[in-house]
Amino acid sequence: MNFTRPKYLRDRPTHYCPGCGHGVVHRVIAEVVEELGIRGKTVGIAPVGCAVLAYDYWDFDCSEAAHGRALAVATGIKRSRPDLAVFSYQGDGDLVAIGTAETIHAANRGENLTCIFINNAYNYHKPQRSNKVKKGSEKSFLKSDRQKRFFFGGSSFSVPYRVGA
Amino acid sequence: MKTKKKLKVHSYFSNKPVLMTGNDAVGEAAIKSGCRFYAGYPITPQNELTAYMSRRMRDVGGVFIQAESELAAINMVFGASSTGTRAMTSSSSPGISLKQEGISYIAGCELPAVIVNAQRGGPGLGNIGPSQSDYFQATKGGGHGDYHLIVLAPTSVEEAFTFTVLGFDLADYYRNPVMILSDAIIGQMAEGIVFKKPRREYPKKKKAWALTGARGRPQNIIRSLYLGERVLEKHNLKLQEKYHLIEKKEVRFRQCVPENAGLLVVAYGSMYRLAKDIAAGLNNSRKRVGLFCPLTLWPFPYRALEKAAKGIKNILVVEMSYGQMLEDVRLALGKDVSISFFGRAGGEVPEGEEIIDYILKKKLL
Ligand SMILES: Cc1ncc(C[n+]2csc(CCOP(=O)(O)OP(=O)(O)O)c2C)c(N)n1
Ligand code: SF4
Repeated sequence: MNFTRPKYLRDRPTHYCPGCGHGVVHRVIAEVVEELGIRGKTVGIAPVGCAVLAYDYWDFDCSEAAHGRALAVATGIKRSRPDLAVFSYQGDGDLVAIGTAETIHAANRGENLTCIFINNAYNYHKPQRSNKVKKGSEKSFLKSDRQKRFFFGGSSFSVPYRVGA
Repeated sequence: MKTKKKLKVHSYFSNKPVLMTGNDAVGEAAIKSGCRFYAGYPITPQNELTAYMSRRMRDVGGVFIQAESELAAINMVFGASSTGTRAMTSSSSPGISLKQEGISYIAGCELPAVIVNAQRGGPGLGNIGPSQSDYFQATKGGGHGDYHLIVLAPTSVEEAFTFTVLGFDLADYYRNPVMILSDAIIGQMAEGIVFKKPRREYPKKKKAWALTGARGRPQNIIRSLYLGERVLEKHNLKLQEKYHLIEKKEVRFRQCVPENAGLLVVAYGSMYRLAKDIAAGLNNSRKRVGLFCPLTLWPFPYRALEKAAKGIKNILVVEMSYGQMLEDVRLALGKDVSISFFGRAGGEVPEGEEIIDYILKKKLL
């Protein structure tokens, strides 16, 4: 079996940390867009957080959104152009801390959108906790050693690449 | 089976005057300008506009969303505009404060949008009376970063209509957010208006930048994030170039300066109407009263005001604030000119007589 780069994932150096899961999810999204043959009607919305540059990896129309407002932006796009396939890509800081209202209300209105939720704590602003972390549950919430180290402040600056947004 | 609904967009021209409030006139102008997306959140004194849009958008097959907040509303407009759809949101002072982050993003991403502020008394929750206390916010930034809104200030219901039509054209032409800065008076008073075509036509540009699905073309990205050395600076310089062009081309004002004018009253929006009454009330004086009314608050008509004020002994600025436009008048006229100021705020409207008393007491005429 040949392991190749999906058609709509750009060939460019990553800004994510080594071993970061964002790259895998980006890849899966690019594969899905290719498989469904929907590049010509896809619009992605990048969050504010580590994945703020997601649009630089995908080869289809994309927008940025203010921190937490991706689903409001997505609503504006989808309602104006119902023929487009619109998705947002958001971290938990974006989706369920600062953006809780937009998230709940987009769901409540029954917007016809896809929301991809990357539940990884405030990695961009490590070692802060997002509202998704229950008291005392940090250890089970953070699966890998890398994440634990990261979350508990063990090695914040050992991360080789980080963006500022 | 889908049946095609007949959509009702009334023809552009009509010689028959209609009685309308300023808020409704903005709404009708938006519909006639092809605005097909509106998102807003209720707040007095602009609720009539939200109500109007909820009705008219249904007529024309557009989108109306009563959003969960002003934050959501402005970001929905961001999304709608990024598809190339003409989009508008409206609010009043506290709600406009909440929209500022979104407005800065819209300016940074160079998206067209029309934002209406029917100003009310502040600061804080203030009250629902008319006010002009958001002048600084509208003209000097409001949100973060080096950006400008084009700010149009209607003085009548008719201008609420024509300026909104103009606003949509300017927004598309320059890819820049436009603010219609009215207040509780302009928004809620009713006057007879005729739906006039705007005087200047702006060529329609194809929105090649819009997010429409990248069928058969390279990817489009709507972004204001620019990392790397000098990349954001370059983007900012491009914006500045656009702002300079707007300053050169889009300054608008109205003036009426008689030859023997001894006093020039400078006022905008609803206060221009009061200034007209004052000038009429002082018509019998030996010296006459001149009027100057900026119609674009940004770009401000600095040079035109300087010219209009030449040789006039006294200048009086009247505002429903404690001196916000006054600062631009000072910039236009310099230190050597004596500038008086009469302002009331907190939702209070100055009376013509109290201003005339002030003029006579201070011997401005
Ligand atoms: C209004 C606003 N507040 C705060 C920030 C700073 N900020 C940038 S990213 C971020 C957290 C993002 O966390 P999350 O959504 O979980 O994404 P991750 O980086 O973990 O993928 C914050 C607080 C901002 N850009 N805008
Ligand atoms: S901080 Fe976490 S989410 Fe962000 S790039 Fe690094 S590994 Fe990925």
